[in-house]
Amino acid sequence: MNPVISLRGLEYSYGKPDKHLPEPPKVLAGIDLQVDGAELLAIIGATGSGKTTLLQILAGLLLPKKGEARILDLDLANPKIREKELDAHRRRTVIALQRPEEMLFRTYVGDDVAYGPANYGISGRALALRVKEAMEAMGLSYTLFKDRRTDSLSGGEMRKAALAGVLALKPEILLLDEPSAGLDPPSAEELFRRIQDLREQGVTVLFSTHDMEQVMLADRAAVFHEGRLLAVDTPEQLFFYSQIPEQAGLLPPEAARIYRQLKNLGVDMPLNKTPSWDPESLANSIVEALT
Amino acid sequence: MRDFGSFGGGFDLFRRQASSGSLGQLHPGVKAAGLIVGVGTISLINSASGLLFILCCLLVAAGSTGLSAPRLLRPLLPVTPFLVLVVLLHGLTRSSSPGEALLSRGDILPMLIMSLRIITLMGWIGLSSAAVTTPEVSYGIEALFSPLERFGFPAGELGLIATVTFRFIPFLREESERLAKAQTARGGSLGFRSANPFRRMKAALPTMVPLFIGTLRRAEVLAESMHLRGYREKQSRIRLHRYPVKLQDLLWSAAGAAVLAAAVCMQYADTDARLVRELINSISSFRGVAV
Amino acid sequence: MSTRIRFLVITGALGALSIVLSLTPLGFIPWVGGASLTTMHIPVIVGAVIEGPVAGVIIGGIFGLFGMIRAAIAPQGPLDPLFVNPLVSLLPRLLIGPAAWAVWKLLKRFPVPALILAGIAGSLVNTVLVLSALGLLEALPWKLIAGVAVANGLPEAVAAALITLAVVAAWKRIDTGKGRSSLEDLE
Repeated sequence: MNPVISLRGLEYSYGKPDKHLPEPPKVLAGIDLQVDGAELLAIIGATGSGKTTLLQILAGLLLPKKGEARILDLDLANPKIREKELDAHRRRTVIALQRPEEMLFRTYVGDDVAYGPANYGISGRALALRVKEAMEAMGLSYTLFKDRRTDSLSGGEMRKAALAGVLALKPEILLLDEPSAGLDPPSAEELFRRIQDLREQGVTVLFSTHDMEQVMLADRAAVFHEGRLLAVDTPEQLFFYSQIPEQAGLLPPEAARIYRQLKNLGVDMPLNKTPSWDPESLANSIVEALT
Repeated sequence: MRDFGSFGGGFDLFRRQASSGSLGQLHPGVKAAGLIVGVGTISLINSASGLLFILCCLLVAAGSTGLSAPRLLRPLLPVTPFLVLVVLLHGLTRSSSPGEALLSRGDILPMLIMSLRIITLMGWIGLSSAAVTTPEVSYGIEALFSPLERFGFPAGELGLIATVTFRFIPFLREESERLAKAQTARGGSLGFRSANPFRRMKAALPTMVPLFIGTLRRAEVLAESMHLRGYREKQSRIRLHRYPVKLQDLLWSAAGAAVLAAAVCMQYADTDARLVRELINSISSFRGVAV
Repeated sequence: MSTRIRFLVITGALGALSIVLSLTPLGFIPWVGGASLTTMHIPVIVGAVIEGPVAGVIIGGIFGLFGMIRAAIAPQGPLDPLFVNPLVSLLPRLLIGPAAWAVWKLLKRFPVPALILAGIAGSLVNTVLVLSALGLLEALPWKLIAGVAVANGLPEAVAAALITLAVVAAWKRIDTGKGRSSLEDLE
């Protein structure tokens, strides 16, 4: 199956080389990554490991310095890339940056959500329908919220509105930079449920996070460390059966740590049972292993 | 600008973190006064010889304090063609026809004065700013206006404003980059290419409005926290550095004043005219000899 | 909370905003023929409307001073060296704030037109005074100045009016008269 994202030897650095700094420090180096359609991929790594830069490159906001970056059949690393191609790309691959609620600028919620599609020429009833769909995908009632003043919303509602604004573009690839940062746990959980809904609809979603429990919801996770991609694998493989997250300075979810410690102590879980990150299932597996 | 790789990164905060040389160790109030008095005087002087004199003294001063003259005048290099253009325009402005401008001797002097003034100002300002660090700017402003405090002029508060400004600059650079990226991701850059001029202006709003509002909100938060931490007006504040007035402050001030005064005298003594007459005399006598 | 400290911090912050706008593409709205409409004088206008004429003078001073120093250290374009002269870069900018504030104060009862006209006034003061200074120094011929004032200055004033209105209306929660979004109702 053709991957929707294919990165080979991707490199990025800030700054132009000059005689004082012939080699600007690389923020990303040697990145090889393939992502399939409708995949939910988590991007994890310590702060400064290059996660945000990667997402911005995928979104077409930064252009790669070296390597290949094929996204939906467009190579962003091609130096001859045209403005029109970039515009078209940004319509299909959309990013929501950190703290998206800070970019709300229209007085009324509905207008702000409509900003994206309106830019691409959608208007009238079609626009209203788009906005409605996007808002309700984020759990905001169209009729109740569209005429509300943006500055009258709560923090969580503002974030939902901002994300609705991104969803309204109906992207094929959705990039989320720490989407649940600063949200209380129930809101964060609700957000991830909606992200999974999107995945059901065929949208490819990449999200970066510091919350390892969220990572367990993803199909695969890409571990970044100091600009390099250490590994891409299922969360189970990474956290339960390898030390790679620790190498990247990350703390695995608690269930994984319990499992590994038990294994160290000699309690071997049956190999044919997949240890689950869910605490209850883990407890069942432990009991089974002990009896 | 196709991507955001070079968004705002080309300009360093022009005050260096630590300055060296005898000029750098002067009392900040002296530096501030030097800048203001120097710039004011140079702008008003209308004597080429006076300006040239100041410029030479500047280069000597720069050299003696470790700031090499080439380094100081380096910004001039890319600008020289433009300077020539500007000076020519100046000549064009003064006379009625282009041919007359280039040939008339009477206009060479004003053009010379203009270019000298620009170069001297650049040198003076450049030297001043190279000799100051950011905290010294705030203190310098405060010190400079402190004699006026007994008339109710809030010198300390002006210094505070400067400090706040410096503090906000890095934050605002990041914020503006973030907002521009976020809105571009939703198709915001398309508005700037519209044929409709009104639409082009409106395309600036999605980035400008949140930027302003965000700035104002942060300012309020900062003000609130300062208030809670016990900031009271008209109270002398604790400082890390003390700047005693030293002998070199007086010496440099006197030297600076003398240089400027000399230049003013040259203007009133009509030195330019005298030099030109000398030049003409020597040329004609030289010619006479040759013939 | 003390209004004095608030005044000081807002003034400093808007001064920083003016500086940052000069350093990033946000300070320049692309216009016809390669020229741009500048926006770094808008924080001066906004500051004057929100915190008064003195704030406007100070922010204008920061704007002008930075412009002058930058012209001396890192000039960008052909006309930049001219801005090392404080008569061109500093003095005109000190008057942007008071002009905008005066217009705002006069028409305060009608906030929307007041903001629009304050933006226009502030921007025109910037354009006219800076260009006049260049003209008085005989750096540019008056005909060219008049051309630039119209071709660039007028649209710039409109842009300033738009942004000033949007920003201050949002900040002071002034209703610009719609009451609801422009999307149609769906069942």
